[in-house]
Amino acid sequence: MAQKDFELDDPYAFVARRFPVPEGVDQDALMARCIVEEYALMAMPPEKALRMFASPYFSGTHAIYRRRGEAFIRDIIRTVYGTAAGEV
Amino acid sequence: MPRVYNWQLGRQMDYRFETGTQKRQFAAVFNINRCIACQTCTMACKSTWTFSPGQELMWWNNVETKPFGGYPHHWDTKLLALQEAADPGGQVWDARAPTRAAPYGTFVGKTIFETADGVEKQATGYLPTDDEWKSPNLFEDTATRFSPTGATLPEHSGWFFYLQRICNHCTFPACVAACPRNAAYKREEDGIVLIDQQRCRGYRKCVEACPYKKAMYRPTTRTSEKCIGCYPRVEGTDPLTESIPMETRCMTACIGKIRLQGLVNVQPDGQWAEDRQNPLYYLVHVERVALPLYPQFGTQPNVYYIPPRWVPRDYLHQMFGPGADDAIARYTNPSRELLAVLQLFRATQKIIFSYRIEPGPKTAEFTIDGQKREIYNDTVLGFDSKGNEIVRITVNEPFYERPDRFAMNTI
Repeated sequence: MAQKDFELDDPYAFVARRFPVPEGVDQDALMARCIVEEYALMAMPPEKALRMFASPYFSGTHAIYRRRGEAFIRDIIRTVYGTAAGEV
Repeated sequence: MPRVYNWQLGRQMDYRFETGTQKRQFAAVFNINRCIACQTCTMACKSTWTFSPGQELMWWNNVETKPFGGYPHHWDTKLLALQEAADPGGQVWDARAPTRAAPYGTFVGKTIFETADGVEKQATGYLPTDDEWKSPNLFEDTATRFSPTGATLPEHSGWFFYLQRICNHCTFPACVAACPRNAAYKREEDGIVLIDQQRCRGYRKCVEACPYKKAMYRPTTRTSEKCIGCYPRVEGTDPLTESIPMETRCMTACIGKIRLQGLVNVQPDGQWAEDRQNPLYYLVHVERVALPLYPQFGTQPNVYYIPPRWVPRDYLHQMFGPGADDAIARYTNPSRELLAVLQLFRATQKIIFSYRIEPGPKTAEFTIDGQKREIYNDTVLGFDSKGNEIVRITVNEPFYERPDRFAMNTI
């Protein structure tokens, strides 16, 4: 097979168009809440749910954590699990 | 042309052949919410069935990133545009209260059979170009561009989801209707749609007609091929199974446990016969949490999807019909029974014909939007075709978290 050097102007580029998020929807909050609800339905303890966001080794959840901060995640976990789950 | 009843559309429609000889139907449910697009299903299929010369670009199973991805490229938007052009403004649903015979209301637009002339073309469709079959994941999770200092994968901050696709083994297959040689046919025993390689002459009418673009041309044999539903496994004739029907390769390989496949009993009119304890019947007809893909095309596809809950509803209505709202509501706030049945997904390689639930203790309680939710650690039991127990699994499962010291294995 012929070896070719990479070319910086190679047209093999990511050209996907981003679809608009509906007005008034906070996409980070929506996704984080979906994920936390799924964790809750799996009976995952709330502190473990927080760890899934805080750990950089879970890139999807950690991206939201990085963008919005830990307080944002804690708030969502508190909303889903309720105060009965105790302080996260 | 015979009139048939399409329950997904809630009405009768024209189709080239009569129904009524089929006993059982291959069907599956995919939970989109849990797919991570690892493509294990894709490779399981590829390494079993399409690894030979002429099949290089043939992916009977593929997972594409929606809304912008597709294999072949833009397969769904192209057909939606053709249908809209044939019936401008008319492709709409009359969403009524669900009934057994019309669970999603009535589709008042035209199917792909109804927008075709029935003489030159049996179904509206198109032949994708060679280019469109290439690179099943082009423009999806690919690196943005080459960089001498290292590349990063794109981080999606807008909505998207993964769509898992195989042949739908439709009740009214467009490939069967379109084949001038009657080489494409639907099996009586399990509804699996096959192409007889001896009869096929490679006219590619099936490739053109299949709305899901799951019939593919093979240049080395000059015939068309398609997903065969791993029929030796479904029949139970695979040496591994000891005559017990087994799920297909793509289903059993799913590490995300998003897939459940089986056989459902059908009535002479093509509707599913009531079978309350069959997990597929339960998910599709009782809980109505799983919906067909583009039911408006009219082929009555037999792969059902639990829609992704975070995606804008307009998009989901177009893709899954008016049942999407109710399906998401039920999935988001699942019943005790649904939570248990979801555990059956990919819990065994054998086909589950029926299930039973043994009640367990309450293990969690929380409130979402003022609504109390309780989790019970019920045990769900699955049974094979002979009524033997093949799986027993609880709702609560242990959690395994990869230790940080293995982080170097991450991508």
